[in-house]
Amino acid sequence: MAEKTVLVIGGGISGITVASELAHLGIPTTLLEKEASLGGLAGSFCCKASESCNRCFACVVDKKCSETRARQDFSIFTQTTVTHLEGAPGAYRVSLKKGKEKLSLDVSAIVVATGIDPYDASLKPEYGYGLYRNVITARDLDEMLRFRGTVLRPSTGQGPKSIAFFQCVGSRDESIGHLYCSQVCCAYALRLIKAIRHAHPEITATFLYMDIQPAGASFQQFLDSCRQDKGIRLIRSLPSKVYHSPVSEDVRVRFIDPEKDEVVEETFDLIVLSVGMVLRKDSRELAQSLGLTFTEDGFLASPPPHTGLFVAGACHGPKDIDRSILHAKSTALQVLDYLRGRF
Amino acid sequence: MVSASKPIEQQSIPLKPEALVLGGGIVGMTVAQALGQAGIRVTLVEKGKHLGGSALELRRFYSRPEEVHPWIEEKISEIRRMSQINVLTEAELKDLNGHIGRFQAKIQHQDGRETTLFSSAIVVATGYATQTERKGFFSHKRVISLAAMEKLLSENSGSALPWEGNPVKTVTFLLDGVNEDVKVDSINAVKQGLLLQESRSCQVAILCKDVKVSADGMERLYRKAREKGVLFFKYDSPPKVSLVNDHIQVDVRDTAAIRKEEQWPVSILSDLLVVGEAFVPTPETERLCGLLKLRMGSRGFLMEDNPQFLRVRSNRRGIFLAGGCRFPQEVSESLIEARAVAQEVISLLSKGTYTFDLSVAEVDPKKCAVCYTCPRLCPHSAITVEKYAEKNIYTVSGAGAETRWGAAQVDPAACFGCGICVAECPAKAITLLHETEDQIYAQMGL
Repeated sequence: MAEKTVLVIGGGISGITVASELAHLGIPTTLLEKEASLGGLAGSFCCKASESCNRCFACVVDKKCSETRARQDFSIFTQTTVTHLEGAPGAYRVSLKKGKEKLSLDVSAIVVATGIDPYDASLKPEYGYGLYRNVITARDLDEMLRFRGTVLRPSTGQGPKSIAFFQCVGSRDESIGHLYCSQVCCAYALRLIKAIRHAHPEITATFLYMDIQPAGASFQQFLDSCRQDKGIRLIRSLPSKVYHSPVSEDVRVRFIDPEKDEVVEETFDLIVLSVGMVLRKDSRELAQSLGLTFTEDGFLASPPPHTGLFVAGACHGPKDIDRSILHAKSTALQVLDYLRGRF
Repeated sequence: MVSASKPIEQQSIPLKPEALVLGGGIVGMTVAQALGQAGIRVTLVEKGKHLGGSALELRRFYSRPEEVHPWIEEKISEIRRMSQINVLTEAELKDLNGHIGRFQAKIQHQDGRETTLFSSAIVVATGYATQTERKGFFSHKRVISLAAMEKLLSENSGSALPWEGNPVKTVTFLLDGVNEDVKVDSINAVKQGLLLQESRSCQVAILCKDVKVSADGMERLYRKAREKGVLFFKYDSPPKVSLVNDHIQVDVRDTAAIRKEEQWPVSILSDLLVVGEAFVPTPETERLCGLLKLRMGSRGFLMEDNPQFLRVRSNRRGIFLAGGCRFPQEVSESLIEARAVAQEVISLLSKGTYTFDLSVAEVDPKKCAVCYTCPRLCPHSAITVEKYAEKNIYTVSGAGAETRWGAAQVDPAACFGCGICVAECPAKAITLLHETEDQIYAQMGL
């Protein structure tokens, strides 16, 4: 075989990282992205700084994307999907579809970095996502902050006074078969709360959780600052149901108030559901056509290295941005070892 | 910046494929192995007698069936076999000079010898240390650490766990006393608790603030532990620990009940109380920070607050941080990080040169008063002053005799071009190339 080439599927932060690491080492690399632009899910996150940086890593993704666009050393196909795979380890032929155009590519190794989808909150009807306008997901809120610059109540277009955050929507939930922790949502939601409270100190936030999961070196300080903030209530209680008033479109929540130690009902202007991570639906089909297997939690299992197939980033299991980047770099090293005949 | 600007020049420095790895734990070994396989000559420096580090305290992984020790032994023998890796045990870093591409490290051996090494990049993987509370009830012999329990479990393989001649019936874990943000304790406690409950016929209770399950497979393990009968209590204020009939009693409220009147106080009398450790930086971290001119985080770990540095790059170019010296983490996460750091080093050294834009700070030696302001302020330790030394000496012909001066010098390869020294220099001796005062005035229309 003349030249050893690599195909990276997925132009999110993990895919970009793998491709740029390999290209930097002189390996001909092609990056595929289904959408029109690079960045993936993490590329649409807003900066969550309050008085200081809260280490959400959103800026790193933006920087990495713009660096990638300026690079010439690997080819990028956007709006392209994989339709078919044939061949054997080390010599795969991949059929691609870009619009109506059909392409084919010969590659030595394939890296799958298709990322994750936020859990579809409408599958938990008791929280009323999709039914009540003032119930949104953390992802919707993030997008609102990024593209509109502020938080608004969808029903009125006015700023809310009180927001409730529900944790573990789609994670750690046996009733939907998700016996795993999505690992990022606690820190993600708390950062959103901090950013909102910094811009709008009049908004109070209630954080309803099961267990707070730590996230890295400076998390303790960050959590302490959340606890000291009078406008943030951290309550260990997952709400059972959301009730809706059709006239005012207020949302009422039943949960256990630890101070009163009884079930209370409280009305909020806005409810934010911290949705967990699930493998993308199209990744499932892709995995099947590539012959990849799944982990117990429904993510992509690492295939044995001699197959020339690799999995990078959050599609391998829940990861935040920096751990996705680190995982992608470590996958790049594996690919390198494979191409050089060492594994 | 159109006016008064010139094209940005580039400069290159050669990089030899040589790297220094400090710390011979699993992270340091993984980095060394990956670098060695990529053809980089590695010197692995370990202060202890043996490689392996604090992972040797572990006996079993929570997520993998194999035992820890054979796995580490295998890794050590692989490393010993690799000709690219030079392992120095019972050795420590004594001094470090130079910048990226030209680090000069003095290694002090325990037998008094000294070795001088040159390396292009440095990886710090010195790990973390643990401390166990030893005051009050915690000094009682029935109070043991998680590491001691791990040892006890591996030394006794029967269907019961003997302790001082009697089988252990009840074990209580008390976690989150010190660190709330480290999940290692939680993972080990659930792993050990399940083992005790399932195959050593013990009744186990785990008391913690939050059950930390944010690791792959942990929620399943937590679920299984509850199914097998391990009791979990989540507390807000520390539970009361007392000594009753030479056994440890812990009083906690059962917060699983909703109504306060139903939240019975529970007294757990146990044969053994296993307490979580405090995770602290290794004692030599502070010295290492001084030698390597790295910044320390608020808790004394080597930590980089700048997210743009991805947590594994330090404030100095060419020095990388991996594993527990940055923050205590679980084994499989550390290994991913170790391989990522190896990839960073390979990527840096692969071209044989380091090419950078000359948009860096430059000192005008004639104006420099050698006041040591800039080397203290430089966040990247790119400035050195070599006053009256052999370097940087230039001669000013004054009115009378010639005077010999030294001056501050910015290493262009190590400089990030942040401009702090430019702003702070009292003598205005430093300019940021391509962001000169002329350019700024021109942009302001002055």
